[in-house]
Amino acid sequence: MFFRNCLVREMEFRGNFLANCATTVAWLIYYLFFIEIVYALTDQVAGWTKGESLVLAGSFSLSWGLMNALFSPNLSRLPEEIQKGTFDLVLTKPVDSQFLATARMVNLAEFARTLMSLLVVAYGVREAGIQVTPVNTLVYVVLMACSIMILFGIDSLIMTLSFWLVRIRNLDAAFWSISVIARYPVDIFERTLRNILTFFLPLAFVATVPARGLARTLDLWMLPAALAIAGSLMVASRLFWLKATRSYSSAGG
Amino acid sequence: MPAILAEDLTKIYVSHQRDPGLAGAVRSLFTRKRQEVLAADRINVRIEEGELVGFLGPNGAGKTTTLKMLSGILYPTSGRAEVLGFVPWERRPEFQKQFSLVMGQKNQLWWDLPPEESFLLFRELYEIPPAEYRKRVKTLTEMLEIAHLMNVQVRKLSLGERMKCELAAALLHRPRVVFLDEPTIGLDVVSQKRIREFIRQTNREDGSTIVLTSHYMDDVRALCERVVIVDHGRVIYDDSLTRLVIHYTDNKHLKLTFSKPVELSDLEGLGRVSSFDGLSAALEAPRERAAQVAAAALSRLPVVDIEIRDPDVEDVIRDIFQHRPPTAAPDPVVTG
Repeated sequence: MFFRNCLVREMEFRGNFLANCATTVAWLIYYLFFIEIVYALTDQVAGWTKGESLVLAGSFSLSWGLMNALFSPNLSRLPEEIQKGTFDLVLTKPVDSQFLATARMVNLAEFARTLMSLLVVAYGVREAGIQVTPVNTLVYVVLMACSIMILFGIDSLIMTLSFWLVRIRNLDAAFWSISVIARYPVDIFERTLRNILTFFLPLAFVATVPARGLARTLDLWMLPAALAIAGSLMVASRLFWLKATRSYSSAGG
Repeated sequence: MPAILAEDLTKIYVSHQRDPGLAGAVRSLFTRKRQEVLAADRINVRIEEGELVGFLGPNGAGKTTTLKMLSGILYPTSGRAEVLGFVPWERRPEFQKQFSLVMGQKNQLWWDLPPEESFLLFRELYEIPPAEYRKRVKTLTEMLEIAHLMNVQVRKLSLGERMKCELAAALLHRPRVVFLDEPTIGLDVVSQKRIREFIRQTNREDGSTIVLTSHYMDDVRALCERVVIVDHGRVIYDDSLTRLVIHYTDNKHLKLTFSKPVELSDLEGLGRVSSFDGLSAALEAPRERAAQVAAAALSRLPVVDIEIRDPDVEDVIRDIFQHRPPTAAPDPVVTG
């Protein structure tokens, strides 16, 4: 139902919709060129071949695209709704407020990116000569689901802070700028940073781990680790949300 | 069981104060003054099913805060409340499906879409059966005369048209309790009247319990038999509107018209002069002395017309708000 309204709404602004699609696609093409150039100079980057890097790039873009399509448009509206007090009405509806606040709007243009990303993953799989089996497909799907939950969990935790801080745009922007790191295999970083990205700010699980799951060998502990991290971030974001809506102080007459 | 029950409902907002200017802003990064504002102070209200009650009070009196607690938007600091037998701030869906909140200053229809689309969304949220939905939309759009607006984008509607659509959207699921927070704010007289009639009809025909806050006395006078007056977070009056005048004022208003100009000094000793322009004068005199004053005026002055009446409700309420008992004012508590 929300989806339908968004579609109708997007169609209201056809020009904007097309421009949006064009930017997301252009952005991906730019990144593909980047990979082509790097691999024109070398065969491997930190052990990653061109095909594997393409799987990685596609996976990152897929997570990021789905996040932007489904959740980011809503999460980024939250501070404004809280500041103006229109969040009041979300709390009076007979539907879970976190669901309503995070899944209300869908950015359809981002689905164009999602589709493109899938093509890039497929291209990478062919380039790297990977055998697609039910097992590695399932592992990949599970890891990608974890990837989106991790992004959602972190962004949701940040945005929920706006119940107290109100203005939070900078913190959110900072997270998204840092998260771009996930586009590169964590193996290219030195040990300390790699550990930070694995355990502290688990961006390694956004793209590197799923890409490994599909294209290369995966350390066995990584699958349960991904599930545990994704799960605990979801629980944390839920608890934090409940705490936040409890202390919501509303605004405006 | 009453539809709405509040017992000692209290809300204290905690805010941080800072001194004006850049220096103040920098200082506030390190040491902040904590200020507590008592927005609702032990509110006690009991409203039976089917009542239509007006909440009155100046800006910042605590009307909206009380409504927000009763609709579950805010957790109270202390006290207890029940609406339709539910504790509102538990935010149970079974409760939320039975009440509705309309705020004159906040809209919930999708700005870029026609109202019909938002209505369909509400149908999903409230799980209204399609047949019931169609019937309800027809009734509501006819009552509010908005059937022709259903396919116009909300952003293109006038304020009055938008408010009518907001009301219709909020009542689609036949709520048993409706909170209306200044539903007529900023509207022209014709729209105000239409909305007022609609509210009365909803109350009578659906038997909904309605709590209304408004700055416009006309709304309250037209709709509410019972008023609750809130000031500085406290309920200072809770009874019928007609009794308010007798309860709060000891004065009668006298209006005199003269056949030829008189001097202000001629009126001395008659009562408090509230307006005077030579050919007419308005006086206030204690109720029990009103007849005496009228007689004195008739014998001393060239009076061609005299009118003695009770003060307007507006005047009474203005007086109540102006002569606030000093003890009722909460002192802001400032701590480190």
